[in-house]
Amino acid sequence: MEAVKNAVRMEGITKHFGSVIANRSINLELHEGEILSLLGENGSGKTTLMNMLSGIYYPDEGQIYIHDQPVTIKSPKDAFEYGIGMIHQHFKLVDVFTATENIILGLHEPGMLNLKRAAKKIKEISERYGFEIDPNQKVYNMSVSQKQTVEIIKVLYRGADILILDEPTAVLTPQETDKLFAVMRNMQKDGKSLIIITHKLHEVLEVSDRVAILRKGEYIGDVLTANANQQSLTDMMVGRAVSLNIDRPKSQQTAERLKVEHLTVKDVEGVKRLDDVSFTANSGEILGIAGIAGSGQRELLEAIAGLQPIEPESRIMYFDPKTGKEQLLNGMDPLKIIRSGVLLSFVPEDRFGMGLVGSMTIAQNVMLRSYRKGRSPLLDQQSPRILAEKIVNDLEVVTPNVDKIPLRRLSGGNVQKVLVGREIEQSPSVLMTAYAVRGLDINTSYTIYNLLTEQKMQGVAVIYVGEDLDVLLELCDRILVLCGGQVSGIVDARSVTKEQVGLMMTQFRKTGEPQKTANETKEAEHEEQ
Amino acid sequence: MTESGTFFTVLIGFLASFIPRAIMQAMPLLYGSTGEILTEKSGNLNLGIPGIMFVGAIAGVSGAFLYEHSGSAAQMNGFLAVLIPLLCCLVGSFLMGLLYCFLTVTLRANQNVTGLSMTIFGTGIAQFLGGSLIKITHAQSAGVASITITETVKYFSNGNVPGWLAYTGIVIAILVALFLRYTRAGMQLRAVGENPATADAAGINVTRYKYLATIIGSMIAGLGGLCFVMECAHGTWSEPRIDQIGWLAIALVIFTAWRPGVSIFASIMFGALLILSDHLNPPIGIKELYTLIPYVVTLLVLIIVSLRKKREDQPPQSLGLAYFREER
Amino acid sequence: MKNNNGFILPFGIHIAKRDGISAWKRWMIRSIAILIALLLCAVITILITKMNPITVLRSMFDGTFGAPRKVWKTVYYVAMLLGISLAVTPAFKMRFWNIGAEGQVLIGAFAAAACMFYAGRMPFFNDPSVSMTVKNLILFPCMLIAALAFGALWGFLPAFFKSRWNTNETLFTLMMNYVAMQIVKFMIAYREFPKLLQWSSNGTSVGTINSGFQSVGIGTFAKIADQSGTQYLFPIICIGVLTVLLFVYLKYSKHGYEIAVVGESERTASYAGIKVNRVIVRTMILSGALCGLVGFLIVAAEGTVSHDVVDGRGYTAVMVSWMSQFNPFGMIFSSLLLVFMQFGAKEVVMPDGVSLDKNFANMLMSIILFFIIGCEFFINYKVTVTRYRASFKPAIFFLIVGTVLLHIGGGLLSVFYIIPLLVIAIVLLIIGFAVWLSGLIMLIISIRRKVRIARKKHASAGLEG
Repeated sequence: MEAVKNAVRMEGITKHFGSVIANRSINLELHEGEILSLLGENGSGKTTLMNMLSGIYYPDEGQIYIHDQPVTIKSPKDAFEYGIGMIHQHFKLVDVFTATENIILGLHEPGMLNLKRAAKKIKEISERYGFEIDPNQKVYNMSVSQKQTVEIIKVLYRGADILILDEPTAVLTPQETDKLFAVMRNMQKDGKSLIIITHKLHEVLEVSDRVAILRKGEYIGDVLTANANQQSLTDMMVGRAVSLNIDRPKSQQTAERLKVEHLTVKDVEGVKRLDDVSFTANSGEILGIAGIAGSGQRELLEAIAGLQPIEPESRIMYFDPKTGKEQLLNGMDPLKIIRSGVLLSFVPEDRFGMGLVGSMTIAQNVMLRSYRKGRSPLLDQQSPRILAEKIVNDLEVVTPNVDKIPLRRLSGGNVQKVLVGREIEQSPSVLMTAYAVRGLDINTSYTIYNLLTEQKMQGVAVIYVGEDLDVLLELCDRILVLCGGQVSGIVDARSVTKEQVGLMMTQFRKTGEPQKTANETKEAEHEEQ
Repeated sequence: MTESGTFFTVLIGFLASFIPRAIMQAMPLLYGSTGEILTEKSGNLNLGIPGIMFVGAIAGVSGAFLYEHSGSAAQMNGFLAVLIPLLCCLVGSFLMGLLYCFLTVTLRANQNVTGLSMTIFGTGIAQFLGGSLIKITHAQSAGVASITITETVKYFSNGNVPGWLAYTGIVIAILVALFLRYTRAGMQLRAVGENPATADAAGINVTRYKYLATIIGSMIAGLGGLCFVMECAHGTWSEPRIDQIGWLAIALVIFTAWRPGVSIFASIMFGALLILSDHLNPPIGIKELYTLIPYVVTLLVLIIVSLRKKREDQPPQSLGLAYFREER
Repeated sequence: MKNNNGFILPFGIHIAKRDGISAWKRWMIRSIAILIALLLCAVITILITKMNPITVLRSMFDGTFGAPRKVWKTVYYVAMLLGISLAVTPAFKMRFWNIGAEGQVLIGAFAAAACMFYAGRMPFFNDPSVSMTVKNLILFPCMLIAALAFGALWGFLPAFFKSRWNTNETLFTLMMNYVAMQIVKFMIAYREFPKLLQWSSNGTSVGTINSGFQSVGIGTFAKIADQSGTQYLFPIICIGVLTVLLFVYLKYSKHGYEIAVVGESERTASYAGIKVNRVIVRTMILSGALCGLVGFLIVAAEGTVSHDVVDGRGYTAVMVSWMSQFNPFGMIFSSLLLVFMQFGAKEVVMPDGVSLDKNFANMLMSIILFFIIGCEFFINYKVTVTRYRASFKPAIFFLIVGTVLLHIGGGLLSVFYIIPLLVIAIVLLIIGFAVWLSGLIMLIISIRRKVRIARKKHASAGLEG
């Protein structure tokens, strides 16, 4: 048996961001000609580690070896020279450039700029590995998968033999994923070494030869894929067997609170982001919304909150909890919604970009939704401060004070607690949350789950957009599955299995058939039962 | 037949004197907008252009003044008479560009404020120096305090038709257009302005590109200031209105959608608007209304341009934003 | 970030975003920056005038506070500059780049003056039997309303187009300045040649709209109380009140809160139900109207208007506002400093008769502002020197280069009358100073490191012993 050669060896790599340790003395090996999966939860430091390999960051400590030679990678340029190419999760492409221009960007080929010659070479590469690409297409006209293709060709064009793919499948449909995996295997046959960062276990098992696992910035170990299964990988990834044990009481008092019919939203370019979405959200119930990232979750919540223009056939009905009177929310902006007495709370996905103001204090952020109260032209500074202190105490927000320190200085979990706390303090009748636990530690996540359940038991209609299916299945009462902007089904979270939901998330795209309406899906389920 | 003949003679006579002067007036605008386009393509919004043009102008004038007063006119060497003001102008605007880059690229200061204070700074220096030069020479001609570099200006322009500096301006604009469109470095510069993170990841030295583009852009704009003094003001310095030229040049950048080639024609159009009031010889008072035209046209242009939605006509995406690699 | 900026330095620089910085440290950095800037300004002034710094300072002081009349005038100018700075501040807090204060003040002043002018042609105001108080009581409100309305209009237009089509507000407001200037020039030109328009039959003074009427004193503050300087009292009080009001408005009012949120993030604002476009338009109308108010005060105090009555203060106000970080009370000091330098500079006459002037003051002011905006970097980022083996060599090298540059710059300045290459000289001075200072810092760091190493050695030796 011939000795295994290492394409990459990272030794004792440590990286700090301020006071946070992103990577703690990590040792990682990539063998030549293998596909290695780098597995870990969100925030486990996978991307940071790979960024140090590709020259984006520079390690505080440690040594990197490429083909057993010690190297210093100070910039992406250095990385290219060692044959390392990284395909980032967020594509690094210039929108107004063509595919060709993007691919040759930063190269120092001899002679004048010759786009035709470059386009020819791109064609050759794509034929060799089985890509489909138009070299003269502008990036802003491309689909996500096309953009990813450009990124991969960019790396191959530079002759990279070590490729790093950062969560490449997060934005892809199953077919596109299959195609990508085929391409990856072609590259492997061609002698290239690949690292794929992911947290999807079935993909790990499908594509890779070996799996390396990170947890909370530390290297846990590696295992040959042949010897691994989902359970063993999960155990290594999370450190213990996943048993979420989220408390899910059943509320007695359920009534229609929000009814959405034929909701259609188009983006600036006229593409339908939501297509004929219909559902109801009931009080005393958590309605989960599942789907691949970018399936229309953001548009759905923003449309209800009055932040997205909706097509005329859409209807958003709200039923007042006290009077039972119905009210049409169509075409209302957030101010009108507040003024008309609709108690709608919204925890948006983008905390500082939308829900909060980073440079303001907790108290000032708490008043963001309620500062209008009263007739006085002056702000009421007192009650927000009291409220802020209440939120800080109730949710155990760690902060030196509520009216001096800018919110941006707090950690992500504390920021999220402030945001959720504020929205709950509005005593809403509908509470919408988008990725409420993204980037939070386990404890804070549970705090948030408990808060949502508490709200549910108080008769609030909670809408929970999540990415972790395990949580959705244990937290929610019903789950609405979105797929490509359409509803691919609304299911009972107590009886449905993870596999069923996973299937529905990709259902439409797999069959390629016109979408069934929500009702039809429901009927189909009844028949099954 | 004869009447129309007379009419055409008059018209041709008018145009024959009007067009060259419009071109002369256009050249400082062209220099300014070319320099600013190059700068903005790197993602730097340099509102200091008026100040830089001022500094370029006064540096050139000072150099010329010095050389003229260092000996008699007969001793003057044509080569030096051109080279000295030119070099002084380039050095002055180079330093201004360097200052802007240091503040906005290295220290990541707000580009708008930096640019504005550069304009106030440059205007201050130039007006103070100019004023001091005037006071030193006690030059009071017809009640207007001014200095004239009579000898030097002969090597630049004869005052009636555009001189070599004007043609250089057109050549530079064409060169910049070709550079941006057809060269590797030009493409990489555009990438830096559009998306510095992408450019950085592609191994392009963002800081170097920003520095180079902004400083060279400043030097081109500085030549515009020199051009204004030599061509439009015939070598006379008395509180020139370079700031207006500078602001119009920045407006032209938006108008031409960051295309130096288009800017050649747009500048000439604005040059014509600027001298319209001098040429039509309106009664005093009405003249001020004619002077209003270029500004009102600019306002309309700004509004019309903002209705433009085509992707290629939009400003570089990172324009006005500082770049920091480890931004999280 | 590793420094591969193309700078050849004997050490690496690591820049990282700060998590936070304590308030006193922040103000320390700012104070040091301002101190260095002031020192640099002093050096430049001394080198240019070649006069004793005390003499320079004394003549500057004489020029601003030398006599009661001068004090009045200085305070009045401070008030006016402060007023304009206050007026532009709400817009800046909203991240709306309103460079149009010049035009907004001018058009307000023009509107007020036009009221005076038309009043002067009405029989009622020329009727001696009507008491002055009554005339003033009628005229002042008219002037005020006209000035506010025109200023507001000048603020509204760019805001409207910005909110509608995202029209570039910086250039729009700038162009509005020139439009206002040309309109005033146009009107004054007509005023000079009444026969062309028959716009006036009253007075023949050149260059000002109301100079004939000024002697009567209606519509000006001069004759409210017959004391020299007191015509400035009312405007000063007005601006004082305005300062407090604006402070309250920005900090404690709902509108002020909305402005801050919009400035920080428009998406957050619309999420909170704030109508961004409405806030932009409303704030710019306010900003423009306040500029108009200052225009009214200027006209009423000075009794005349001309196209350069604002005299670039619309632009310097931007500096004042930024230097004080949008704090209305900080602006008092900034504008005082600026006016002190502008007025004082005029009094500094060099031996050959050339005096410093407003332009010189503006130049110094922008140097101070460069330092203030530059030092924000050290507040937001942490700079650490890496790969630096405590070596004296580069430090000494820097010190030498810095000193040489300072000398060349100083030399260029001191032969200013022969070689007016002031620009180069000043930049050389700045760079030289920076190099020199970094050399000094490097020296200190290297010495400190050596000391620390020595102490450690000593300590460990002591332990072993």
